[in-house]
Amino acid sequence: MKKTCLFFAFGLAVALLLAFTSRSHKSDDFVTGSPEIKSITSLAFGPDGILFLGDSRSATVFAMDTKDVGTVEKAAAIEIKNIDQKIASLLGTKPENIAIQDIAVNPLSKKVYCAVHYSDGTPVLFTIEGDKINPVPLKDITYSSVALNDAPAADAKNKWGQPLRISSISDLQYADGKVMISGLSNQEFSSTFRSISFPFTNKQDEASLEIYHAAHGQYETTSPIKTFTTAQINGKKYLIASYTCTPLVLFPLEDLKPGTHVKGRTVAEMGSGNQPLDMIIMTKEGKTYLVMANSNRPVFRVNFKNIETFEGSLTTPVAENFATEGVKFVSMPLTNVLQLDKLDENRMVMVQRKTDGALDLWSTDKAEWLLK
Amino acid sequence: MSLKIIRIRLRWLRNLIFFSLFLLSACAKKTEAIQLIWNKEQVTGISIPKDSIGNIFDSLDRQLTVRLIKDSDPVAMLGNYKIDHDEIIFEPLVPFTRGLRYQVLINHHVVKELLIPPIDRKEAPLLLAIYPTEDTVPENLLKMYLQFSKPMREGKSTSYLTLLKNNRDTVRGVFLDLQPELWNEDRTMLTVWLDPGRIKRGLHPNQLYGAPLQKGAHYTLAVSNQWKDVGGATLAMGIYKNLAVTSRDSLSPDPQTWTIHNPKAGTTQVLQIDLKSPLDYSLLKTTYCRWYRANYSGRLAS
Repeated sequence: MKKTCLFFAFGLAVALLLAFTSRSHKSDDFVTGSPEIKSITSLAFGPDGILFLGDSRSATVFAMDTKDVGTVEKAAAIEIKNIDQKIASLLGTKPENIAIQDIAVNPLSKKVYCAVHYSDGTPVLFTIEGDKINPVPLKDITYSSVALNDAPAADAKNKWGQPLRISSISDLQYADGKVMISGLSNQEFSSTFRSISFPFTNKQDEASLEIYHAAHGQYETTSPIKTFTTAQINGKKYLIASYTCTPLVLFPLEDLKPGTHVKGRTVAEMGSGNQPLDMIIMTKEGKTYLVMANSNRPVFRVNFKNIETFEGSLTTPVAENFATEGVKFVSMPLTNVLQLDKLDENRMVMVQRKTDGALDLWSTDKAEWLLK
Repeated sequence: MSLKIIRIRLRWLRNLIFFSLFLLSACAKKTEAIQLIWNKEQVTGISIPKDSIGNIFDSLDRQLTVRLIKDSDPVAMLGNYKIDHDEIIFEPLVPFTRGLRYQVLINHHVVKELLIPPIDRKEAPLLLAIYPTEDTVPENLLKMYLQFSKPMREGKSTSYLTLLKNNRDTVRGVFLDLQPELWNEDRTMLTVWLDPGRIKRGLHPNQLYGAPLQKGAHYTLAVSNQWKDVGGATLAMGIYKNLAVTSRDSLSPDPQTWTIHNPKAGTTQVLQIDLKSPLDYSLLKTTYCRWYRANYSGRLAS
């Protein structure tokens, strides 16, 4: 009898341990309810099916527990033609009344999460799996949130000494227990870059970032980061950021500490008159690539080896406008890619405006050569 | 005998027709009662009499469907169904679109077509102001603010703004196309930046191409009347604002030169501050209160 009790006690302890382990990335401040999500302008996945929603209108980041944690190794191929028409039909409206804001792939389930705004600004979230488009409820969800302007970072001040309010979230990503957010102030052309520990705390670290903008021929501190990712380069973790007019800049992650002023190393100038839209890292046949979608250029592919071997820093202006300098990159035969993410280890998924005007969502199953 | 059988059959047939007509008429009356639910200027739901559905033997969304009328592949709209006393309320994920037609289907049969009333021109939004309000601006003008009477649609602002030089040439790439755009929280005021890379002296684009606005030239900012508000109504009218461009303004505002006309204590007179030179509208709104408190609140109190 005693043995049986001990056995049950042990089993219970293991069960409790497992239960708590599986919730290790969620803190006590996760609640169930219907938060007022005013917009969804950025999406990024964290651990255990946690989806971060960047709400520019309320300058808030929501961490939503999607409970979508079933692991899938290889995602179903996606080829949805006229995705905007299909989503518009589900919403009972016409395609001109909706706008796709961002996509993010759940690294566990490989489902594509897609944020859409109706013309009145109402945000709607969908999952896309194969050819199935399903709504994700934004009511009665398990979530936590952090308001970016309620606790302005210590260094986030304008030249009049007032707190710099974030009015627009350019991009957000999760890495190493932190949510990183690039934002822009409404009234001033000032950018902020914040790093917030997850599970959320009240503390928001901000480092001021400085870059040499070779297309502008000047050191700049206020240029807004449009899109970014993190990666290991020569054994060290870096923030890889791209800005309006497309400089590519590296910041060592270990240097981004509160109150510090970090000078980035500009490794490429990828052409002015352009805005980077999305940036992902893909590995194919032992080669790692940075893949970047752009507003006024085709998709770029940068071989990581070229970044690793480029030891210099661009500190002089480019010779002529729209010219490129620094790390060599390849322009891929993909234009008008508006959204881009990694679907699984070998494939990308993108929203692309085709030459016939159709807006398609497709994965690169049939275009393996893109990364060769 | 056979005549009697025919009479009985005819009576049955007549009763059947009468009963069917009665059912149809009853059903039509019930579905006539389908109502639009308005919230401000948007239709956010419809209410359907519960008895028009009959027995609810399945999940509501299988028995009841609302869809947009379109040429091909109509699909059920996403939304929530709930029973509220004698009504079934359907709330779509996003409001119905004004001017579009929808069908209500009960048990796969179309029972009602609905037209969501188109936007009335009286509801059209207005562009209330463009800041700076002056018609003479320095060549290093960095930004403009557009103040609307209603919340506007986001995402395509630069396609509704055109800058014409000397009433002839369209100046391309003059506005920074930021996404997300810089709207205030209720989306009634938009901040538009002229390309800072061409304005800041010493920057490569500035050295190569000069400022977007050139001294001595005349410009017209045209705001298209096709710009829609969040409900789908277009601007009541397009707006043209003329701008004459003067020399670069490199002087910082000097509060020491400002003249303060304090209101008399105990009155509701306005406070007047002569700023001597035009200042940034939005920054002024958010900073002058703080400056006034720091410098003059003591005097006011005394």
